[in-house]
Amino acid sequence: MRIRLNKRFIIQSAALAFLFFLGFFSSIICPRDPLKPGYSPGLTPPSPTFPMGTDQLGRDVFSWVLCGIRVAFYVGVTATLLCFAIALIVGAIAGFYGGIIDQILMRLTDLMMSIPRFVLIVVFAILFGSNINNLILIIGGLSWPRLARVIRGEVLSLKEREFVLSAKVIGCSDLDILFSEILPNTIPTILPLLSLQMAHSVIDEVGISFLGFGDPEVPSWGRLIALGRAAIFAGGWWVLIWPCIVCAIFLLLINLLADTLNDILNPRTQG
Amino acid sequence: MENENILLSVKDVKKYYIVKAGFLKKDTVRAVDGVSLNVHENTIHCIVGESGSGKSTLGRLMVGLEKPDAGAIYYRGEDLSKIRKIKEKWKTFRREVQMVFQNPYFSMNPRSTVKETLSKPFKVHKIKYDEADLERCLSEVGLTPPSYYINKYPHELSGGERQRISIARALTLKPRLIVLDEPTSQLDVSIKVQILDLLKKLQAEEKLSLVIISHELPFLKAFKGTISIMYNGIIVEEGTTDEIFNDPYHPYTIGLLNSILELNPEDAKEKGIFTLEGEPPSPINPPPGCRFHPRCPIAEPNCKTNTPQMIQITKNHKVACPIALKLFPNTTLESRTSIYKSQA
Amino acid sequence: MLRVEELDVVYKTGGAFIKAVEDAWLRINANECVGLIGESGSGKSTIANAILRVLPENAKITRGRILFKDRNLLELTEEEMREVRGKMISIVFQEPHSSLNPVLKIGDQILETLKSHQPNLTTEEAKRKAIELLEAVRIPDAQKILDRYPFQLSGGMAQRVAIALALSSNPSLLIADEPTSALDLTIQAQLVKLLTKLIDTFKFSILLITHDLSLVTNLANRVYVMYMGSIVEEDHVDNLLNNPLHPYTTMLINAVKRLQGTASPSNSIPELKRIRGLSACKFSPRCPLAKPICSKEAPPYVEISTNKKVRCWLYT
Repeated sequence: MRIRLNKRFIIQSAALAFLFFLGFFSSIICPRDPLKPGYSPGLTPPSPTFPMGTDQLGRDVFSWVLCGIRVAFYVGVTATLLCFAIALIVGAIAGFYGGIIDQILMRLTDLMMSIPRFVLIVVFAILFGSNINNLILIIGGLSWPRLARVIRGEVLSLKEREFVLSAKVIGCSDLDILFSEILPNTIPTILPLLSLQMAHSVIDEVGISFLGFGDPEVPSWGRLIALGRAAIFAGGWWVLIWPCIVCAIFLLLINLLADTLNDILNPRTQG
Repeated sequence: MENENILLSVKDVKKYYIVKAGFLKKDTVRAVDGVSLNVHENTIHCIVGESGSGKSTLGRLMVGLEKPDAGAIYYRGEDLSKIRKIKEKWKTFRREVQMVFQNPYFSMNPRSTVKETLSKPFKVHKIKYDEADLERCLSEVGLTPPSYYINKYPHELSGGERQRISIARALTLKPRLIVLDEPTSQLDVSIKVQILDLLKKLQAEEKLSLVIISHELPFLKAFKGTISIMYNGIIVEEGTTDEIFNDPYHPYTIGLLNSILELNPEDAKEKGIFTLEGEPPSPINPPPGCRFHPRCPIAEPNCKTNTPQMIQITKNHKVACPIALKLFPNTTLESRTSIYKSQA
Repeated sequence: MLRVEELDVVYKTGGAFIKAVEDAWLRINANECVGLIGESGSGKSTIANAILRVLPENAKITRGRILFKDRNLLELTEEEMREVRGKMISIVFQEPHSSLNPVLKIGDQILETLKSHQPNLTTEEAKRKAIELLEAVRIPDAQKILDRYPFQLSGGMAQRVAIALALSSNPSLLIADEPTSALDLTIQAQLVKLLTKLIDTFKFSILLITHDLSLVTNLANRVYVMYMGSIVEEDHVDNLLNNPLHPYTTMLINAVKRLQGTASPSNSIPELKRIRGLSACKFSPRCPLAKPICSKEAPPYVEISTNKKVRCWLYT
């Protein structure tokens, strides 16, 4: 793949990689157990011992925010992979074979897109348990329709290209054509969308945890933000601000990277 | 040409497409509407037509990319629809019959190097190969030094070079028949000539058959072989290169030949050019009777109702126009053109 | 009427600067058809875009003058250019459907164009003029066509409408950029006949840009030959065919003769070798008559006789 190294890409990937390593090594770097209460008597403002202060129950905000990075990456990456797998199967088969199969798959896709997704996520979280892996399954399992549509569109347009017909005439099997001729040429369009999907998945999980339906065993930013909302009334702005800032930076980086990837892979012709 | 040497035979083949035309209405596009022709071994067979003639569809039918709605295609005597069902035979067909496409910019996978593109046929048919084999293929089509080209991506090559690689790929498995769909229409004049020479050389050396589909009639004068003229989904005239260029019968063929712009306009003035009026009809609603009658200068009232049949003139020359057969035998091309101009 | 002098156009792509046109000198007089022949990448369309000043963002005219009726077009403001574009200089493109607005009826488009040039025209008068124009380009059933949409027309018909639109303002110059490349052989022949007639009736000049040498010889009086950004030869059409000077012109003519079957196979066409490094005369890597100086210094554009110029060390 020819991703030309351009400055923006390097800076943005480096920043994201930095966050990734923070998350990866969080269990080692983390000074305290984020979910364990009692490190301080109660709401304490930021100080040298507690760089981001503590919440109402004496939990270390800094540790929570740090470990939250790992949660975000975990949810983002795995949910996106799941979503991609389903979207790929549905989109590629619908686009490649067309006919009745296409009709059925697309009506299924339409159906899923018509239901308010977030509501459904909440409902499923309540029904099937809010264990973090369940959440990933639910998020990934409900986010595929849009991506499937795009994949189908790409496959449809590439299917009639002459190099694909050429492969057919040589005697390539359908599967071979799909995987070696068509799909690699969809990467420029799909890759940026996958990055965006990662951001969406994280937002979904943060939202669920904020509402209180998330996994109680996991230091998600969402839950901390919910605590922060209550803490504000007692003057504890730090419980709200820090996770919001870090979460915002995280999402911003992903979105910027998606944009940069798009610009690199899909250069707009300039005359 | 004897029957034993027929490689590919198209018998009364029809191909229709259904398109939506407004709410609940469907139109039938009669892309190919009853075509029969034979491609012999070791020959060049050209199929000429303008847009809407169905020649590209015919090309795809011949290599098995599409299935005919009526009629049949025979390869070495066996019906393609039967060959399709037997895996071994189908693989053999796919090895022996190849196609080169029109657009050099889309005929190679943009993410594959030349090496990957050329080695694919070997991999698909599980034939051993090495780098020397690939380099030989490149040299055969005039891309030297091969080591320069082997690792290049399509966007690093010119249109002519890409087209040569398409031809090289078609040659890798030593096919018996190659169908070329407008192989040079997107290329510059100087490159056209190079490809023309290349095709002639390859055909003579490898003793394979070429089917060249093109709308560039003047280009085909240099090939010695058979020419079939297609109009609106059917073949209207067929003959050797010599017969078509010097002794054309069908009014459309004569019109086509007259449309060729001479390099030297002085020659044109001498010939007294005749311009064919009107447009090719849409393949959705072909005119009744003879499809060419709305534009035909020598049409008679019967032409509106009677669909003309192919009539043999000489061993290799046949035409689907009874009027032409009445008026033209033993006349020169110039006198036929003047008959046109007087009737137009 | 139109004089292009010393024109240089530079493109910026991916950090590198490419000279698409170098030292172009062109002249078009009133009432004549001038051909500009070149293969793909020769820069011929760039010259057309430069004349109309519709070059893309990343292209710049770095040198030269374009004098139209003694005014330098490069010095005009955008507003003044708008008076020129479409009114005094019109253009017809290769793809007929790209010059026509797909969501407007043909009649509406012609009326709109007519009224923008002559605001005092009533709808009745404009309609009559529209039908006149369509009949001038030999469109049958002109009245009916006014109500059709572009997609309902075939390529040949759409191109005729595009020509009608271009002529609606009575321009002095019509630039035709590959006007027949996308059309069938028989339709092309019809359009050649039409254009010849139109030049007589409407009395305008045509700059015919194409890669098809036969098209130029049948329509134009004089021709310019371009190769990789430079104009290499200029001559009258019949003279060019009988006495080509530049080796590229000779090669081009031979190639066409080979394709039409009127030349012997012994006239070999040199292979296009990948051009590595800068050689001063761009054609020298392929030139059978190249001399050592050709790769060191670019030849000047010299006049051999009236209306006959060449850019080649063989004649300097």
